[in-house]
Amino acid sequence: MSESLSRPAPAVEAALEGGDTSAPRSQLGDAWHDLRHSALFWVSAVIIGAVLAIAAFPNAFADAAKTSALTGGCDFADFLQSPSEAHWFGTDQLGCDIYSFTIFGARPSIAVGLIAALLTTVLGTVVGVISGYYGGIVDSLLSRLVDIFFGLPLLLGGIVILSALTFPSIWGVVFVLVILGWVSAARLVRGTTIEAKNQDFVLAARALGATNSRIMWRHVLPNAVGPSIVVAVISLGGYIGAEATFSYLGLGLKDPDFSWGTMIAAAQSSFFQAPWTLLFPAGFLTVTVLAVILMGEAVRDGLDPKSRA
Amino acid sequence: MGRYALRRLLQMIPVFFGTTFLLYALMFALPGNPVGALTSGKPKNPAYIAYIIDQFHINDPFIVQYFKYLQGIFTGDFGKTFNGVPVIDIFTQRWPVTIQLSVVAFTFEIVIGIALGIWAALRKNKVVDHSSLALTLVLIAAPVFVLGYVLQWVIGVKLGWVAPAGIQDGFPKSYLLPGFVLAASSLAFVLRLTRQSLLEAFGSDYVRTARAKGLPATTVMRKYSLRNSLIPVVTFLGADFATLMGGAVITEGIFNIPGIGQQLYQSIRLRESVVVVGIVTVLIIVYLLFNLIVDILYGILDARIRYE
Repeated sequence: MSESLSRPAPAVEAALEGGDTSAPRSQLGDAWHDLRHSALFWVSAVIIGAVLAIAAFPNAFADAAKTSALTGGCDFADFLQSPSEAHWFGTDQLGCDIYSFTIFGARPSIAVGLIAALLTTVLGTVVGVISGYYGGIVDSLLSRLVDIFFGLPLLLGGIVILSALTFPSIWGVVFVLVILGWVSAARLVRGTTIEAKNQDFVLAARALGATNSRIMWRHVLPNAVGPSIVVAVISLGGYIGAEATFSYLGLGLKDPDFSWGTMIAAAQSSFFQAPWTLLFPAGFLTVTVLAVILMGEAVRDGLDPKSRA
Repeated sequence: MGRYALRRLLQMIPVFFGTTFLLYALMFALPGNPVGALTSGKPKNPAYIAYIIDQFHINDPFIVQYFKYLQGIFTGDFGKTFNGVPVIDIFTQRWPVTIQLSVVAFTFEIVIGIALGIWAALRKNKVVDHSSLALTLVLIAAPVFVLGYVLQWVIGVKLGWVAPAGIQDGFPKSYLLPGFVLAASSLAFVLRLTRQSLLEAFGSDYVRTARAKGLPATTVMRKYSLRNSLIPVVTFLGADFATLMGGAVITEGIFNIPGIGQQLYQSIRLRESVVVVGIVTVLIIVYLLFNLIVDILYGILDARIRYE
């Protein structure tokens, strides 16, 4: 199987693929061509790039020692100070520097989103392709399973799972998002698979003797890639927000780990006297989610051939 | 129609058992010792342990426990809290508050969402359209608790238009601000969905035909464009009502509203699994029922959808 995957497609088969691979530009290349001219795409790309840089290299932006009382980062005498030269974003109720916390809080927030978006997309795509391609009893069983998970709203399901089980660091939230989130990708991919499997290029590939796995990998899957990417990007924004929500409820990250969500939760009590304790982490969170959603919309417009002139 | 509703109802059965079983299993089976899970954080009085073993049929096989729990739910017996208060009493106290809050939120969602959506579609690419789209993006991107605290601070504390928290001003005044916060992200979706599907309808052949026949613009809007564009909106709204009640867990916490959401939040903190599972199970039943109602509403709105 792996041999047939790496072998270049025969010319006949390529020509029968409905122009997917024989076109001068691939589907993604085509989308990229469109995206390069979208202002929305560039604005969101710059914001996302900046946030990713902060998440990857927080030490370049702030001093890790300032994020823990143990390393002398918090001085209780400085509690709830408004933003100043020494503390750009002010200080919280323990006298900690909010700027440093916001910078170091980016990584868990972003990591949860990225890992969950990746895993839900992969899991959903695998189940969706198998379910749509084979149909029959496999499809019925998998679809009922999808229905069951679909019946569990994310927030409520997450509350139950996270209050029943304990996980280290970010993995509880990731687990919940993957367990409850893969179904939307699975439904979507199942739909595109059913649409694709009766098309001429699939029938032609089968007539040429292609195996089921080859048809799924080379002919059915590429049709699902576009919509899957869009759903993955848009859900990434939702997952980052969801991590903050669970952490806000006290079910996500636990001390000594912290994220934007836990910072917002901690700022609840001091918000009226010291709004900056909440506004800075909340602002970073909102702008990041906004940029990811805008990116998702730009990518969707780029990948959707119908929107093209 | 009747047969279709019956078939959907039958399809709901495995989903109902699947979701409730999953919940039950998570809450009572996975953490190991169910007695430990049910008494966590509390001193383990032997009488209480005996009570729990009796209450949750712990000496029965797991599957029997689950069915006995379900049987209890259907006869209104949701168990008791740590303090011995029947969960059903908490329900009768707190559900009405949450339903009032959800109704206010739902009204905001429908009235503002659809009206602004229509307005934006009619003024495509004008100031109204762009500003309402920008507003929806902010409402979608800002997590509900951020929006809640900011609006509570600005409207409740700085401007003093409404009390920042509590329900002492009664219905509907006390529920307006929390209702809006609860509705915010769904309102944004409704607005975008209405605008999007109206624009699609405006470009369709049947609307062009209706216009060509010389029908008044309001008739075209009411009978042709709007009626067809509302189908996806109704789907979203139906699924959303139960989600609103679930979302109340955060909004009620911020605005100190003594509804089911606040109870859920407190019970999570206290790890009162009995109450948590009870509330979530009811919410999921409501969610499934609303989805069913939406499916049936389809046929009334869209003559093309036939039920065999």
